[in-house]
Amino acid sequence: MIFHSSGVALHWRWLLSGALVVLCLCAVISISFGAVSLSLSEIGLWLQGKSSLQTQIIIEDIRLPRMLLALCIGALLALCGTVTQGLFRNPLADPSLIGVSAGASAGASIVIVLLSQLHWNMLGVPVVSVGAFIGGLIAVMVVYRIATGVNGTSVATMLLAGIAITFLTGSLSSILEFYADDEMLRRISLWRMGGLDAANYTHAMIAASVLIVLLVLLPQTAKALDAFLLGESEARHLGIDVDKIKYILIVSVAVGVGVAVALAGSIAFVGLVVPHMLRMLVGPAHRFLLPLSAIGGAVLLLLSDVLSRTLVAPTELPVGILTAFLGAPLFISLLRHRHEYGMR
Amino acid sequence: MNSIRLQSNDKMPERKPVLHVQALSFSKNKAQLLRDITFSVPAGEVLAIVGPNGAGKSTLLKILAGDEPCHGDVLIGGQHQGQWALKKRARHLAVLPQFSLLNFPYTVEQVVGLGRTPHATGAAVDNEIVQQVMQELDIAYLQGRLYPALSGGEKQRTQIARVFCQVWREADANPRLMLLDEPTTALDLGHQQQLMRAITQIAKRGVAVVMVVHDINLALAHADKVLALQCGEMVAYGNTNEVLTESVLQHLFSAQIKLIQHPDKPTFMVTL
Repeated sequence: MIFHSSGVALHWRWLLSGALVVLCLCAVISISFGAVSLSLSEIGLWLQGKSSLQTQIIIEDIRLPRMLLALCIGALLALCGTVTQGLFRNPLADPSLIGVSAGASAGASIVIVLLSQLHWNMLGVPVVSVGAFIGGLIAVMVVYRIATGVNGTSVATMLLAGIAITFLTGSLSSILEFYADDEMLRRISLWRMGGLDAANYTHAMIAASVLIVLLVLLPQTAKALDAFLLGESEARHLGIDVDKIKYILIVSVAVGVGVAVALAGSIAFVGLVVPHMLRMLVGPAHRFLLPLSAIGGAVLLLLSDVLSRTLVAPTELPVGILTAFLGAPLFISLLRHRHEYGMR
Repeated sequence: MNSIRLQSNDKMPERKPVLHVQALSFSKNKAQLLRDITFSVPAGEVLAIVGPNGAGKSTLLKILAGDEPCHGDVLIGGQHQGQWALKKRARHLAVLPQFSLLNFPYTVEQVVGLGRTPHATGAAVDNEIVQQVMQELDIAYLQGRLYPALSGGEKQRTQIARVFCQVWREADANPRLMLLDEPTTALDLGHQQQLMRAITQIAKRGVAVVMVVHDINLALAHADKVLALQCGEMVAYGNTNEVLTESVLQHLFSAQIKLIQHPDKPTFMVTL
């Protein structure tokens, strides 16, 4: 650990401010870089409302909504990752474990293949995204119901039920792909790669509102999450209403990741790697970890998105491919070195 | 030491028990695991639960902790176990489980501090209590170390400190009860002795203590009362020296056990 835990508490304000400054810098970078580079002075002129029409269109119609969406999705994914790792009491857990990504993927496939005539939008959101969100929610609900008995919710059963549901929805998607035509297949595979290219203000606002709700709600569970890591009955003996907390956390993850997957496809590893790395820096206390994870996730996705837009410009890579490509080796190195960070 | 504390208890014979258990029975999957158990523990008393493997010691402790529902009455501070609000109960009742899995790199200080979760006493008070308890259990030198990297005995002492923190001050809650499942697990002899001394100390400050112990010598030396369990039934309950006799122990463990007089103290020791 770089900072001692009491050091984090002592310098919390500075740490948080520093992280927010980094976030702002990344936001500026995200607006400045792309197929057409904009200099800082051009961005400055735009802020004063004196920029050229072209700059104004690039920023307001393309980059700003995209930057906002990347920021919110990254924050949502990392926040939900932190919560999932706490919920499963495993620092290497990922939100996809409870079936939300696979369910969303199946939901999207259903819409693309079976409802291909439908091209309408719901309140500005494409029907594929709605299908993905509903698919993700249904998958998590099923997993939750399987794992919940008279003695409360078993986290271990949830993990296994999540694997089963992932396989089930995966086979459902495969059946649909089997009957799909070439154009549908292309749409399914593009959706799965994940991307922020469909960003608009509606998408960004939806992601932002969910993010704000979670940012208000989740830090209130920070103390309970800390106690929860000792074990469920231990947390109960510390006065935590374990089943209520679990319910809040599972619903938060389902909605948070569901919205993220619905709006940007599956973006791998942000939810896994960001909380994990921040835990090494500031320790596992959720009071600090939750807000910093949100910022860290936003930063990571903003930078990945910049790379995905500039690496093969003028076309772009789906950002999900990039995060997976960068995240997998990072994750393997975490696995190999986890003893050094005091994790087993 | 033992007899001195018994006398101090005798001065206040009408004290309301912190824990009162009446006709407790418990079945799981149609097997009756505990039958007709009755005892009570007043403030300041250390009760040891002894018995062979599978006698139901840990099960009894789990029921007392409120983890499993049972037939009969479990009263904590005169109120039924199930009627306590979770958070309020946690201020009065601290539980040390047999195993603890904590896989996250919290520091020892943070883990101990988790014991203050149910209390709204503020960071300054909490921190002071954490420091005191860590001194008491000789883990102050581990303060900044990461929990998952500790040895078994160090982890156990950290968990015990967490439990101590929860019921440390009379000002936070009264009555106070500690349930300890094999607190000396993984501890070396020196730390066993130190822990038992700490348990005696905290009991003297008004905490009722119920602990499951395997080492009969620890029960002989440090418990005020003993409850002997066998196949889910109470075979003996009473003052330590009256319960832990050669005949009871031989019957309890089906082994040739001899008691010899402790050379320095008015207690006995067990040999095989």
